[in-house]
Amino acid sequence: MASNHRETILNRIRKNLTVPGISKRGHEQGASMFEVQRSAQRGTDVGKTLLDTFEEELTLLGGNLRKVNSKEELITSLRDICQKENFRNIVLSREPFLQELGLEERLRILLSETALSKATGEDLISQLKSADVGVTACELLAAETGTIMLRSSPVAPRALSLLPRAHVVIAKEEQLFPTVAACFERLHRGGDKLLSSSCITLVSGPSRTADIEKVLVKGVHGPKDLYVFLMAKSK
Amino acid sequence: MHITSKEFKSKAAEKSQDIAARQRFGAATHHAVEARNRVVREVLNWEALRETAHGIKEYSIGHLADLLQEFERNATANGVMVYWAENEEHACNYILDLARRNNASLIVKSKSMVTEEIQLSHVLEKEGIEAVETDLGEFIVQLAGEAPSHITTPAIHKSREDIGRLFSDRLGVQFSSDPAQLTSVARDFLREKFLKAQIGISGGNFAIAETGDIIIVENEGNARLTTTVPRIHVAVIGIEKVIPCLEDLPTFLAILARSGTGQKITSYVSLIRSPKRPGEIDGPEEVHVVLLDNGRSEILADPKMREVLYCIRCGACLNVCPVYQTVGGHTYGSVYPGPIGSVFTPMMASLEESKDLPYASSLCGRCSEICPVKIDIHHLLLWLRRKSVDERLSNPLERLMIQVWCMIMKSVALYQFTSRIGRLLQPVLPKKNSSLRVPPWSKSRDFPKLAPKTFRDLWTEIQKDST
Repeated sequence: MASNHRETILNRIRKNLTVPGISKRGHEQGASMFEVQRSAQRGTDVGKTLLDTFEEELTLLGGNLRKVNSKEELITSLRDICQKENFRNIVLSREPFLQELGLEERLRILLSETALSKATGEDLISQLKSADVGVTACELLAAETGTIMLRSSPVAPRALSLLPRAHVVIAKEEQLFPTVAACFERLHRGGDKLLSSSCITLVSGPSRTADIEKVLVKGVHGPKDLYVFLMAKSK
Repeated sequence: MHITSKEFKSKAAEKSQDIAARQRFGAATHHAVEARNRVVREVLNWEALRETAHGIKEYSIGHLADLLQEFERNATANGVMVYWAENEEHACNYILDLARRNNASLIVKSKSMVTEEIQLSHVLEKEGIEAVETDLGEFIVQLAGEAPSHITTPAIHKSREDIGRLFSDRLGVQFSSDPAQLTSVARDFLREKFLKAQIGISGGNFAIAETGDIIIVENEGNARLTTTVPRIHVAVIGIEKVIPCLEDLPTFLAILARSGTGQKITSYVSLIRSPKRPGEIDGPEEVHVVLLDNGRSEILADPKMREVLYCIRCGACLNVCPVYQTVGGHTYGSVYPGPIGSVFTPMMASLEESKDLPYASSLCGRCSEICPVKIDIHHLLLWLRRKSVDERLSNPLERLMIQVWCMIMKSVALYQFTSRIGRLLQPVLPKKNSSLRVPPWSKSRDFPKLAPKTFRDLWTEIQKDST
């Protein structure tokens, strides 16, 4: 292997930084950056609930929100979309939340023609290559940008939300926070959990590009369609 | 850094005559600025965000050595291999070596300015390793054998018909000028590459010292695929990209997408922490970070120019620049075009090789005004002009003229004398379309008219009248 140039680079930086010129303002003193960031964000949401804002933003981005009040409603709504979009091959994550809902078993009864499987380690890529849709839970949601935060784990592979044409997210209203900054702050507090993931992904809408004459096209390398099913808080 | 900025003037003269290209650039950049303004307007306090971002960058560059070591420590603890590359050769060799050891014949790349800077694809291709760009815009320019002409929209110089013809020639598909159809062709072609590639190479928008995370911001999903599917992931990152902690990230996410593409946030933001963890069923088995210096640490020696290292590569200054809009990205002869490129290129390569770039500006200041990290771009350009005069890089005739001008301006008698001569000579000075011209001044314009009387004359008259 080629030699490492660590010391040369560090010494050069140290030497050149001795030339004064930088006033050290800002960072060390003062409020947490989370606070600064939040105060700088727009303040037009007064009177709107987080859920309203999330729905508005997700829809603007080309995603779809389905609000459901019960497990039963979730299952039927999910079935309707699978039938409407003609999803023939569904792969689900093994996340505890989806297991608790018994999604696989219940959908199997409702969609007899459809191939259903759980994401497994044996040959994930070929399993996903032929899948129409990947179904996952999520970590948190950020209302202001319509963002879904995903965390990789043994039960939630990264490619499941990436390779299939469509991505379905099952979430709870309790997971909804105002901003991405608030989500990070929340995640920060649960420190240990963060360390156990190799990757955190923020998803805001379907995959998109405007590289050809600035014309917006949805569905480039990632999913073209994004559905979020949000379970209302139990009253 | 390979540059061809010496021909800037001649290329610019030629490019500015290409009306169709100018219209295309004008429309695309105008569209981008409009979109940016829409999402910036709805932020309660945009200036506070810019200030915060500037402050974080100022701190980060001021503590660069410490932050880089902290990043290295944490990334290493996460199981990431960190390699320090002094220059492009070292960076390329490290990756080449890695590819050889793993018998890699196919590499997928996601969009990265820094790999363009070190011409990584060229180096890999020369060694017989296929390196495929997977960002749609980058894929288009790679297929055409060209260079990107914009930081965030690499194929901005191409029309949909150009791209349709390119795809039908090179990929053997039916001609289409429908962007959705063309995108779908690229998706299918590149999906195969993703699934076959042994190595994925990405850049990195930020590196977090506190956690060792690499942050990648994108819209298409190609960076996610690049960093997820192949067995090995290599992130090449300029040393100036490190910021202290995760807390700082939301500020940058809020300004980067707004300034770059007019979005509140990009479709995807990946925080990559480690290779796949025990039990995880996908993700790369190896993650390498190449920390690239390539001249950046030398920029630090100039306390004014240091500021150029705050740049987050959003491309907003390109979109508002009247020079960029007229001459396009390729004219600059550098991977980094536009106003920020005109500062960065001379600092990274040599001022002598790129001495026209600091003059590629009307100094209107729109670049400084739009910069989300508040880099004072047009004043840095002025500073570079001064440097090039100090280093005697400017035109000798011009230097002589300025010296004469200084002499005249310092002496009342000389000034009065020459302004009288000037008035007398005015009627016989060559006009722009006459056969007798003073190049380059009267090539495209007349000499400005002097007022018939000087202020001094007028003042004396007024004094006389009032008495």
